[in-house]
Formats: sequence, structure tokens, C-alpha cells
Amino acid sequence: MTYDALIVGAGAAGMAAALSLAGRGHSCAIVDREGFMGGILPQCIHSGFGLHLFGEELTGPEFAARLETEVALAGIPTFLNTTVLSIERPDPARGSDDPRGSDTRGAFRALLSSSIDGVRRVECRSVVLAMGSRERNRGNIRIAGDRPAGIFTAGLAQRLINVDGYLPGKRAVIIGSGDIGLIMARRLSLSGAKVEAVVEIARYPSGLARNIAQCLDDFGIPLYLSHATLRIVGKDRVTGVEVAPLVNGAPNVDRAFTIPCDTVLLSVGLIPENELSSRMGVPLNPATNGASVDSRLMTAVPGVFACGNALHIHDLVDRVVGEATRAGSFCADWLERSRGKTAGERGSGGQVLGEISVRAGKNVRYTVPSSLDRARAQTLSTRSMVPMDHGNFCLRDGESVVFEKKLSWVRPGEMIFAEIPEGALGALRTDAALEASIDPEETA
Amino acid sequence: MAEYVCVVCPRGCALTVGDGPDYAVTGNACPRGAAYGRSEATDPKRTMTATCRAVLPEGVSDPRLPRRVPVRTTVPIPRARVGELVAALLRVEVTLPTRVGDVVIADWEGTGASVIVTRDIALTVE
Repeated sequence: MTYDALIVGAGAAGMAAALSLAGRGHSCAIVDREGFMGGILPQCIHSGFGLHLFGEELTGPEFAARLETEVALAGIPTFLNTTVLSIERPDPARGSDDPRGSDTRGAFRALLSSSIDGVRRVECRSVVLAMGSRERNRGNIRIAGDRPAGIFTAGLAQRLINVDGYLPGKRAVIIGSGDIGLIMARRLSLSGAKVEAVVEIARYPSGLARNIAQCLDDFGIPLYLSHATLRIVGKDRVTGVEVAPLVNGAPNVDRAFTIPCDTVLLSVGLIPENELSSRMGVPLNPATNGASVDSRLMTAVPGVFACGNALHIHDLVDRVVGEATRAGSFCADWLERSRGKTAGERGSGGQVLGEISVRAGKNVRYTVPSSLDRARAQTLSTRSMVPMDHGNFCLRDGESVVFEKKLSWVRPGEMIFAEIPEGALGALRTDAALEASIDPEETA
Repeated sequence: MAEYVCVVCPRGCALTVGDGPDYAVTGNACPRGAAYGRSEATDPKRTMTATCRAVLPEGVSDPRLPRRVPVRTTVPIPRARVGELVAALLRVEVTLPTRVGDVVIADWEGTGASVIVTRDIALTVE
């Protein structure tokens, strides 16, 4: 089998990238190791999805169903219950990032495995990485104590309750205030369990304000900010969690207390899933744990694009779809250029004048992409390291400001988007190096 | 005077709602926030989502099929009655296959809110 693009992952990102590619007339196939489309969406039964994209409030499964219907209408082949074992470039010279265009036929060879169809080989000209992310677990945040039953990541508990029909426990403490943890505080409460507390080590919640309101406040669940989890207690089953307030950045052990519970849920962040990318030789960005990408969302391996939570963790699925749609479109540009079409037939993003690197400066955790094209209008995604009511996002080349945007209600848990207009970077030298920063502003 | 966090969209505006009969809303970034603020001060409502037990038709058995069917209310219901609806849904069984929009409970207790399925679940798992 041969496709123009192979898309790894059938979640929101994979489906949106596939639709974008198919819309430009390129053949593509979606592979997913699960037996259903939609990735994480089918277990996110709460509402609040789709306001940006569809202009109405949908639940996760409904959002997934809309994309899935479009994928089916577009006739895009999907391989479910199928794992991508490897993707290789038999001849690295093929599909090199040559602006004159090169022959990308058979640039990649993917090995797929499924219990039904066995091992299959697929050839493709390009690859879109859309594998999503995994949850950070106890080991990632080094919580001391016993190792009893009853400790779950929030997303696993969500799957158990909403899809498999099991209640993981009756009295829960949630460590971390990520959105999935907040959503699960409400779900546990509605399912007959009692949520004793949400414990957050930072001085502000990492989830959205509206989830604090509708998931904790509605159910009278206490939120302990600036509290560290000292240890999990329990022999066979969890019996409690010992927490202590942070004073000057360190837990004050004298004021430690134990919250009795039989279940602990961890909502302490997500990590982009990139084992496949690493094996393909795709360099990762240590700040995001996703691939380093240029302004076309292309990784350092020519013809390999990345999007969605596999690239960097998003706050809203609508944003994932937006980014994946762009990735699909950039991939289409790449395919069209490499087939040697004339300039007039190329997509608008096909021309690359020259990329300028962007470095994360003051208060900026990271930027995606890591470089910008001097010629095009483009979107830069970033996150602030600190909360501020009003701020100013700024791109500087040395001392001179080349782009700025006023921000309000800046929170580390919420993504920031800078729409950089065409021409804003056109006057820069090719060896310019940009620095992104967010400065707090006092005035309203 | 009361303060709320708007839950209409992810922006989460900090609303201040004046006393009745006007319930003047400030802090909202859009008209939907004003409507939410007034509703929160007078008659708080929530869109409720939950799951129902999935039942397979006679003669079908497949361990890979989900055991819960996600549902939601078509419009928000009074917040005080959320627990009541949760209890009612515990007794509801939904037979697979399902389509988004299948009605599980029509016009629950005369509230004008129906409970509908939110996931397409086919019997043939690929």
C-alpha cells in the first residue's frame, strides 16, 4: 500500500490533519492502536468542547463523532487496533528538504501490526505524528510513601468510570489541579464517591477557572493551594494522604496533616508521546517533550510533521484541531512542492524565504514552532510561566521589537496564541535570532 | 451583590452580579456571560452529563464494546435537581447500537430537558 501521507493517531489531531490533506486531494491513511476513533475524546463525556470550532457546546464523544463523520465522508482509510511498529527512511536522500523539489515516492516505510491483519508494510511520502500524550504518574513527581492499591491517574479513572463502568473508590483525594483532575472530582461526586480534597503544590490552580467553579465549588470540594503531598499512606489499600503547607517554598512538616481516603487520583500533567518519533531520529524540544518543529510544523526529518498533544500539550481540543489542520495543510504544501509543481500551483505556505529561530525568554516556557518564516503570516503558540492579570507578549530581535500583543488574564495553564501578520518579519536579516517574552503590565 | 466565575466558555470571566430586580452583570466579555450571571443569581442551571448502563441485544457478546453509554441533557437543568437526575439515570439501560441524539428520557419531569446519547457506538468493532 502507498499513500501520500501516513497519519499516526486517530484522535482529534490525526483526524483534522487527515481531513486537511484529503481536502487538498492527497491520499492518506490514519492508524490507531485503539479499536475506535477519537483518541481520548470518547471518555471525556463532559461538555465544553467545540465552542471555537463549531460555535456550540458539545461533549467529547459528540466532538469526535463530528470529525469521524467527515473522515468517513472523505473516504479516508483507517487502520484501527493497529500499532505502528516503526517508520523508516530507506534512502535519506529521497525527500530531502530541497527547495527545488525532489522525488518523495517511497520516502518512508512503516511497519504496522494488528492482531487481525498481522504485520503489514505501508509506503508513504510523508508522515504526520499525532499520537497525543500520556499522563504523568506518581514516579514523575516522586511522591514518597507506601505502594498500596487505589492510586490512579485521573484519565485512567475517567476511562474506568465513563467507558468501563467501574468506580475506582469511595473516598478520593486528587493530587494536582489539572483540568482532568477537576473534571474527575465532579464525576466522582456525581457517581456516588466523596472527594475529600484537591491538593495543589503551586499557589494557583493549573486547571481553568470555570472548572474550579463548576467542578469543585458546586460540590463543596476543598482546594488546598500551596500544599505539598508528603506521602501516600496504606498497606493493602490507600488509607490516607499526608500533606503540608508550603512555607517559603518548602513544606512545613510541623503543620502536616493526613486526609483519610481510599483512593488517590493524580492529575499532574501530560507528556507528549514520542517514542516512535525518537526512533525515527526526530529531535525533541526538552521544553515541550514534543518534536522541535519549524514554522511549517515540520520536524528536523524532512517530510515528517507533528501536531496536537504529541507536539505540545494543549488546553482545548478546538486548538488541537486548528493546529492539526495547519499541519495537514503544510504537509500538502510539502507534497505538492516535492512533486515539482510550478510556483503558481503551490500552496501559499510552500515558499520558505528562510527560517529565523525563536528563543523562549522572560516568563515564556516555550514557543511552538521553534522558528518562524520571514515571508508568511503564521501562528506562534506559547505558555507563560507565571500568572498575571495583564501582560505584553513581545518578539524582539536584539533591542528592537518586531511584534507585540497585549494579553489579559494570563495563566500558566492556558495557551497563548500570537497571530503574526505577513510582513512583520520581512525586514529581518537571515541570521536574526528572535526572543519571545511576556512582561506584566500594571495598568488595566 | 454576588460574584461568580462564568462557566460558559474556557475564558472563565469573573462576574459581579448586582441585586434584584435588575441583577446587573459586570465583568462579562460577551452577552452569554451576562445571561449566565443573571441565571446564576436567580436560578442556577447546569448542563448535566452522565453515563447509562450499556446493554447488548440478544445473542451479541463482545468484550471490546463499551459498558457505559454517555448521555447529556439537551438544555441546562436546575442545579438543585442534578442529584435527582443522576439517581434517575442509574436505573436507565440503553441497548446498543447507539447514535448521537438517541433520546433516553424525553422531557424529564416537565423541565423541558431531554436526556440524549452523545456517542455513536456500533455493534461491529473493527
